[in-house]
Amino acid sequence: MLAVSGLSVTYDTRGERRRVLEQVTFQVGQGDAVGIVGESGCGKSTLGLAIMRALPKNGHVDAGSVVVGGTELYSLPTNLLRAWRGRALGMVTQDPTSALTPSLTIGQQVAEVYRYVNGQSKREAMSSAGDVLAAVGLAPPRSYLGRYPHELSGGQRQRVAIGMAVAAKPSLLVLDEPTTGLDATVEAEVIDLVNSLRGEFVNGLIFITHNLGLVSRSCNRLEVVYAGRVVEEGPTGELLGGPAHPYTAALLACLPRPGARAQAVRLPYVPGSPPVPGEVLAGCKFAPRCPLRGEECTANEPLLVTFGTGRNVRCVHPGRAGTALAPPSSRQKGGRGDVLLELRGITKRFRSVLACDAVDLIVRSGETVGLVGESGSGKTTVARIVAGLTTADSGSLYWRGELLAPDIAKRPRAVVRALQLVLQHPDTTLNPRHRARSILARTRRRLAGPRRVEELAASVRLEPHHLDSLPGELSGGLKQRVAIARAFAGQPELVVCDEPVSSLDVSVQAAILNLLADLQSSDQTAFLFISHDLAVVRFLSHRVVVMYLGQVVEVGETDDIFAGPRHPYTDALISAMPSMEPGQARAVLGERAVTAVPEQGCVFQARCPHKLGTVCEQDPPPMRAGDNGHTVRCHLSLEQLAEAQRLYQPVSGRGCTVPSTSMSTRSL
Amino acid sequence: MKQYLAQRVGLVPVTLFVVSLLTFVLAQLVPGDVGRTILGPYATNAQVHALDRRLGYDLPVLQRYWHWATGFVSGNWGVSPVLQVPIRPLVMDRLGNSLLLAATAFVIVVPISVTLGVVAGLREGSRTDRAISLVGLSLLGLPEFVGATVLIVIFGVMLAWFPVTAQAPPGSGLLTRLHYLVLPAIPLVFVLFGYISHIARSGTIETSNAPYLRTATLKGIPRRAVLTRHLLPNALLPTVTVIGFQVGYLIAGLTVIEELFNYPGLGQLLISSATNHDLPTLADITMLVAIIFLVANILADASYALLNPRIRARRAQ
Repeated sequence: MLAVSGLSVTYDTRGERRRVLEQVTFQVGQGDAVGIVGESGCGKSTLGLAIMRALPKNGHVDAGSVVVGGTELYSLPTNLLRAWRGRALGMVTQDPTSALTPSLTIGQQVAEVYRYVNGQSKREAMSSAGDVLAAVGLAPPRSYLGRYPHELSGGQRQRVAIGMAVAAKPSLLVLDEPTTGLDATVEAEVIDLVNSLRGEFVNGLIFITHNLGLVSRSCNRLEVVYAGRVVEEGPTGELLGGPAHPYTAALLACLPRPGARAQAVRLPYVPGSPPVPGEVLAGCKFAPRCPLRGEECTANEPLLVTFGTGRNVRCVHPGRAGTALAPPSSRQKGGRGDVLLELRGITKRFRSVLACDAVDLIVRSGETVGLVGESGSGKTTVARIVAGLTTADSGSLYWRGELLAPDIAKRPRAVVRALQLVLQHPDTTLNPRHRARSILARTRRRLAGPRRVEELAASVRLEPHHLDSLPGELSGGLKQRVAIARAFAGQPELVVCDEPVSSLDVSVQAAILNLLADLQSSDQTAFLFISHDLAVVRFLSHRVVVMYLGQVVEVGETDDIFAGPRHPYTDALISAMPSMEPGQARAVLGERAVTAVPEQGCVFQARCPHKLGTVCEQDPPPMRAGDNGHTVRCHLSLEQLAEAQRLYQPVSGRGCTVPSTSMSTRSL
Repeated sequence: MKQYLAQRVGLVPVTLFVVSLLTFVLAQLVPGDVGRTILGPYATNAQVHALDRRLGYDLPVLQRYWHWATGFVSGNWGVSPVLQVPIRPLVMDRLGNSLLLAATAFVIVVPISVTLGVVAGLREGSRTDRAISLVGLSLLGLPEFVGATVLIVIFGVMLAWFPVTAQAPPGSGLLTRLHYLVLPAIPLVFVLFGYISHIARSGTIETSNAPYLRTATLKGIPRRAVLTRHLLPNALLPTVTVIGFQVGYLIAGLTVIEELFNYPGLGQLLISSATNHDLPTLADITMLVAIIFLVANILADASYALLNPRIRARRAQ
């Protein structure tokens, strides 16, 4: 259905021609879903755009062809290309916020496809638009047609984008990181939606992502791309089960596994980053980062060779990948100390939104507390209140048992030094005009830090030459290291990390996670670690705090929370975690329709699969106490919650069902 | 949206109050004496004082302010002590002339500069783009009086295509009046072209690179629909605001052009009342100009909000 053969693409950058794709060849058959994976900068998105014939102005196809349903895309004249492309290819891009035209209603945008591509009348087109919105789960469509993109949530917007892409029933749908930036529960839904559209709306699927967990659930074949080349391809299950290329193995190894804990092990990861396009490297492009590297690797570039049935790998040591990476190294377990920070009854309201509702929270020295919840749960508000950037309406903060001023300007210098913040986007927190060295030196001076700038850089594994770079010259991971080094300049006792690894590639993420854990074991630093990625939180945290609509609904030791019994919301978050086992369905919550906190009863009542009835709507749920300080805010007892989790098994296919109502009739 | 506009309109009296205070106080600071200006250098000091007293210039400032301000609000603007004619009909007549000149310039400049700005933006980096941008920037740097003088010399004197004054003989029809206004309007077009086309160009470039434009293109709809439905409404939002802001300048800021072309507009009257110590007229015109700028800005904001559903919704909350 789609045949890409020998596709080579270059970009003209300031007069230089840089090769970004080199002889890429692969096929997508009827009903296939092919995942294209790799780190950022490896050419994945360029490949997606080249398949759409939508490269930026400075991109050129030097060689090769893209054949869709028997038609060669690049030989079509421009005037025919447009309508043909609408019918043959659909694309969904990364950011649903900017992918929809802000000045047109949803109905106008979707109906356009039917009007211009399918030639329907205005009225027909609008009614078809309603139908496709219903098909992507926006029901009743009538209420969505007249709305503008900004009136929808991120997940809803991505549904619209998907609906628009499949409206003309193209044979092939290309998805480029379609769930980046969405909450885990919403991500799970979007993936389910895409899977459900196969067959009826589209025949083939190309799924571009850096998230191996996602492709394992939706794709039957994978293309692993490195430095613009396919380095390994094959059926998803076999490829993930036994990667043949060291790069694939490395990508898999740096994902935190269920049993791994930062307190005990270090994540294996590939050092370095992919070569810059245009960089001349002899032989295998992965060799500089490869643990199996030998002389034979740099002599000639390895060819894509057959490895087992339906698998190809570009490596001179095919199949030795498994032995390539050192087993995770162990780490000395650090102890947890006294209570460092305590929040009591912290409440914050932004106009009508209750961002924090009587939040209690404790962080001990040397401890990592993971704070999880969807966007809008109030996690970031908690971080800002702790950091002294936002003042709570009521409640108090205590630092080592003493009352702490809510405003950072009124805090003693010693506390400011001891309590630092690392944010998600280092781009926005590092002054782009200052070199790394001066950024660190200034902070060190201000905080009267004991360590020299060079030591500080070394402690976050920055090379000395990185210190003389401007932030813009550093990669995302290196920038985040500078931000972390800055937070550590004054030897802090607690660092609040707000999604510090969310925008990073998995290999860089692993390096940063190791770094945080190393700093913790050497300096006894405590972390308040905010993330929506539960796998990361599980790996790093001693304890986990779950927030929903401003309320702490569950607190407990990490192991206790993942073992259960747990709050129905936590349960939904955990079930939505991408899993590496292919084909496993995930339980999915209804997307949150309301952001307003219910006036009475449990905050989670609107989405809870185990809602008991009026008691949940009227009475605030009690705190159920378990072992090791585990508390769950729920009307169900811990025993009932355990049973609910056992019954509430994910079923194959879409979504999940709550198997029986017996529980609710029995309880209370 | 309604609430937002109500808020903006509600602030108008406050702004006008502040402007009126400033205007009045500054008018008092104009050097020289009113009576002396009217009576000339040969009058005795006693005569000058007597005239000042008759005109009320010996009263305390606050009292004079109150008298003037209430008069302005109630429409009773009084008689110009210098020109000896009622101020309101005079100013309104001049305002009408200024509006006509402004409208002529506006009708010429807006379509040309928006179109060329969009064309330049769509062909960013091309020769067309560079030519348009170069012309725009050069004209932007050309002072009004230089451009106007050159135009008068070439088209008024050498070629004699257009009259060198802007004021048509009394009783002429609209077409004749417009013919007289073309030459004075062109320096205004020069001034505004660079500005408006630049904003239109950068809006177009920014929107061309927006992900939603790629989405629209990849949907398979014709390029014309991509441009008219997805690009222009978003690309021209800032241009609309900028044009709105310029309306105030076009009506009330044309002192130089009106002087050069000897055109009886508001700007010319403003200058003559300032040089002649015609303080009531000066203060009244200044207030009128302030009102025109305020209304133009509110209209610019309102049209921006009307065209932008995001603002519409946010401000409705």
